[in-house]
Amino acid sequence: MSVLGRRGALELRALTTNSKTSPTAIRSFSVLNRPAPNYPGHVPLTTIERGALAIGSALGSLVNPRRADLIAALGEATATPFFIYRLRDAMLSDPTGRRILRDRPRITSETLKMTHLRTLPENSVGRTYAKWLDREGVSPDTRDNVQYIDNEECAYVMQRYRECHDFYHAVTGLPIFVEGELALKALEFLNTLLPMTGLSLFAFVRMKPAEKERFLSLHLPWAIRSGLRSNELINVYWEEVLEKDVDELRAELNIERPPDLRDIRKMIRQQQKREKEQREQASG
Amino acid sequence: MASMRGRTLARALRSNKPITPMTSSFKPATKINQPLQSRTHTSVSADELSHFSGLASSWWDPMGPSRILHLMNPLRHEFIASCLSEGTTEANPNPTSANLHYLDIGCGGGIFAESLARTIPSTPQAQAPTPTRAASMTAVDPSTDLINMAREHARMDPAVHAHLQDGRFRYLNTTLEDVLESKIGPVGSSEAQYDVVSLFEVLEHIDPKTSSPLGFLSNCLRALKPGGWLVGSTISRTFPSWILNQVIAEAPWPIGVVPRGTHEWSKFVNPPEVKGWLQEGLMRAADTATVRGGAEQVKGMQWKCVGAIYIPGFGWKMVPGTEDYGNYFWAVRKGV
Amino acid sequence: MRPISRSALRPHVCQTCRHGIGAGRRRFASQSGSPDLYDVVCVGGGPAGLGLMAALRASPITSKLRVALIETQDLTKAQAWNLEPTQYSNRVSSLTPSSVAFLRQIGAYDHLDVDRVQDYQDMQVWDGQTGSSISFDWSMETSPFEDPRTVATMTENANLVRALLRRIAQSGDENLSLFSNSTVASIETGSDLKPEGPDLSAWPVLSIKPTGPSESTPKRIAARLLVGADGINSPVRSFADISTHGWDYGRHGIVATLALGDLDIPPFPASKRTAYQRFLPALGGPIALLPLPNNHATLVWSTTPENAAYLKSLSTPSFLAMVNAAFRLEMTDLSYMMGMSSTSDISHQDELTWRTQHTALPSQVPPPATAVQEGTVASFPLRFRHAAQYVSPRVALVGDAAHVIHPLAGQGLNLGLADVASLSKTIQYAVSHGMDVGDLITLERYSSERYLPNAKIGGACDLLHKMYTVPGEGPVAWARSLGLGVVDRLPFVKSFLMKNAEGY
Repeated sequence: MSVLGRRGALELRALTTNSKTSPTAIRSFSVLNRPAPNYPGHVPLTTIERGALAIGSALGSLVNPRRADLIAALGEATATPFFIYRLRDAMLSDPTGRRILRDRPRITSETLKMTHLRTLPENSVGRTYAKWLDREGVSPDTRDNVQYIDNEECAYVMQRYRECHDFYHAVTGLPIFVEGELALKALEFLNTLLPMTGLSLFAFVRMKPAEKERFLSLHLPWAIRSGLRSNELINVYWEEVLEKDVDELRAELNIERPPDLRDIRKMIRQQQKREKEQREQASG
Repeated sequence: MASMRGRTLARALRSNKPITPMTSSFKPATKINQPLQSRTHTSVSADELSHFSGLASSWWDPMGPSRILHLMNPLRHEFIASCLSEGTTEANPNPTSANLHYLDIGCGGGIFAESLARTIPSTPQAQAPTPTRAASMTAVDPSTDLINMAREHARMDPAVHAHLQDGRFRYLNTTLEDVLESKIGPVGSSEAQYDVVSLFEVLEHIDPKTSSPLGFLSNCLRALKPGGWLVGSTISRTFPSWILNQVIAEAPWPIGVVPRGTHEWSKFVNPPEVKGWLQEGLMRAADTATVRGGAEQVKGMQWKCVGAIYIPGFGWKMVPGTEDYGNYFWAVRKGV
Repeated sequence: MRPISRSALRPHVCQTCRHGIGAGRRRFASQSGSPDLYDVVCVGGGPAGLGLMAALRASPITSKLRVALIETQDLTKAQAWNLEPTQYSNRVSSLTPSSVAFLRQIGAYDHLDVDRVQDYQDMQVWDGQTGSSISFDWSMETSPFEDPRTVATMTENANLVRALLRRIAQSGDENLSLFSNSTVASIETGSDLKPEGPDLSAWPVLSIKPTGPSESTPKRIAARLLVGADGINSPVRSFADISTHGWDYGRHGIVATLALGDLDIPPFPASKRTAYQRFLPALGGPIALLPLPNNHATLVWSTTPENAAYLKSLSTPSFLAMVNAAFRLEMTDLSYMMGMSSTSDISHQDELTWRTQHTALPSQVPPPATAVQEGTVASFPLRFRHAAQYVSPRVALVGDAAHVIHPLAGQGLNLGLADVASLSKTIQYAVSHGMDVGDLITLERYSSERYLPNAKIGGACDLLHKMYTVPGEGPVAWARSLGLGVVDRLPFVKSFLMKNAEGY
């Protein structure tokens, strides 16, 4: 399915008289008669508002990449009209994906008890996830709810993507600082085609020269290799594979394990430390 | 356009020599040698005969040079039917009885004669299947080749063949003059008197400079019963007709529909000329040894004339008022 | 060899070389003696062949012609055909108003069981991929005080065949021979019966044999005009050495008789019935639901042979779920459901129920199919064929023998009846003008009247098929969506199209 194709068809949908017949079509409205929300928490936006939101959140998140709320808003504002439907259709074409859409599971500390995850065998997906959360000091409950996507099912798909994001971190072992985040976003972009993941790569400009070099020579090639080869990550029913061996899962998904950034950093720091000590010894 | 059966066409088909206008043609009362019979009176020249005969092999080919005539043939039936609806030789015509006797002069390969013979019911008592109500058909042509070919072709339709066998359909290798002289009448009659005499695409082959259409038409009228119809078709000699028949119809492919040299302009006749000859002819036909026919002969005469147009891709259409544009049907009814 | 074993072999030999006409028109007759002469001999007793017979018998001009019809099936059975009022055959055709007018004109429509016939006044056609649609609704064109105009009339083929047979029977048996349960053993050209007899060397002479093993000598009849109404593999066409071109679509048409539930919104006016057609590019062709009486409908679903085999293998509830899904769900869901294992925990019905909740349904969705009439699910391959010409000396082809088209517009039978109407008109013209009905100059009137319209309709259906089997989005999808959208918005264009559709 071509990326351009769906966009063109959607424009034509607006042309034909019976846009009501198309499940994905959104009727235009003005700010004065904003329609009722399609699901709890939904904020219907006009096209102009959506554009403004996309630009604003893009600029904001570039200034401050730690503003997860802005990145989330950017993701939602740019996911329609095409990309989120593509992702949903990818789920609908897969038996597991369909089950996820049917069950609509949520990933929170309530649904996935950390205490239980920590009891799982070493190198299992659940244990790896728990270890990653512990190492990075993050919680699954910090995810925002989707509010700007009009179709309720697509809103769930966006929510699911967002909540699975930490699992991607966990199975790839990529940390949450900018370098690791960018490597994962590059992989996600090629895997999900969500524009926000691609747009996030602009944060590249904020990296230090050494980080840039490392990113271009190590993690970007990895992301491209894995991203193009891998199966749709959105179709992983994480709740059901917690006990699976993480290497096995990576093999199933066709994802290589990237070089561990924290180890690299540690090595570099140790090297710098050694050099410093050597210098100090030499001078002392 | 429909006079493709002209001898020039035959010549055009057989040789690639440039065609020169014919100077000699029908010569009534001219003694010539005929291959089959010797006649003292005939309206046919030896030239005519040989040229017509050359056409024989392609006469019945629906895609051949006579195609345009084949296409016109249904209109002849319609024209005769329209004439008969105005009156016949009978005092009280019965539209269902097939009792009209036809004489076709210059039948050629039999395009019209055979088609009319096909409408003769299988038994004389049966209902007439068409408004032409034919009981019999006598078709004459002086070309032996054409008559033989016409007979051969008629055998290919068992219904027509049956009529040939029982005599209600006849092909005679003879001339009109001989029909009158020898008193060749319809089946069971010893008088050369017919209900309908047809003369399709014949008049334009008479050269007015050297022969007499008047004499020929007078003879045709002589073969007609009182109240009967003499019907024919020909081409008019007018400027629009010249444009249509000489310039457009004979233009090179793809505009033209007939081979170059098909028509002989000088021999075309206009409706008023035909009408004039017929009026005169009616009077002459009434001549007897003691009495000469007078103006009273013309009184009961009915005259019909309607143009016919050929549109490539659509076929022939009768269009009243287009007599001057080329082909037209004409008919005269002899006074009762 | 002993004679007994020879005679034992004979039926087998006859099966394989029954027609014996593969090499084209034979030049010499193998048998002498004079055959029985007929004016019109029609091979094939389907709607087209019987339609021609009925038309010839109905016209006072042609009713005196000696005519014969040869059909392998039992015409007596066809004339006695009967089904329960709640049962409908799966071989159903849509008759355009001009076909109905022709049937009325030849007096056959009165013999149709009208309780088994359903008119429809509205036609909803839409693209399952892009959602663009076109609505053929005559009730918009007519004032509320007159009856809405009929787009087409649905009738079972068996009902139509029975009506035509009754009409023919009504005309008496004078000059008429119906060779039922008979096959054409051979077609040859006749011979010149010199010196007394006519020359039949240009006439087709048929040898007719009863079906099944029989020792009787075949009956020989000669035809002034031999009409091939004998289907896609027409023996008459082979005899006339007329070539045919075309292709197989690689698609099958699934048919079934369905019982329907009620519409959420009752139709207005209450008698208004709608035909539904949704193009499913991802599945290889359109699905159509055409109304029958008593809230029944006939299904015609063009799809790939794999999908057709899958659909036929499904249990009735799953089959119904697929049919209902095909009018409601998106291509992604349909493609997925078309591959669902029958042993899966989740049934097609579950999938349909779940997906319907998350799919915005178009307004033109048909009422749900609630039951399949037993034994009516069947499939047939879709093909395109067009004979190089319809006529040759003493031969004319009508219906499927001349052309086979994609059924997406339901025009196949209508084209056949239009052929028959034209040919019977041509024969009438010929008879009333002293023309030989088998002559090429006669027959070319028929062929010039029908060749182009048939090629046009067949080509249009082919184009539609090709446009609507390009899956996914892309220039083709935009173009067809734009096309349908523009047509739907321009009343003049649409009304022109509707009138054109009605004409054939």
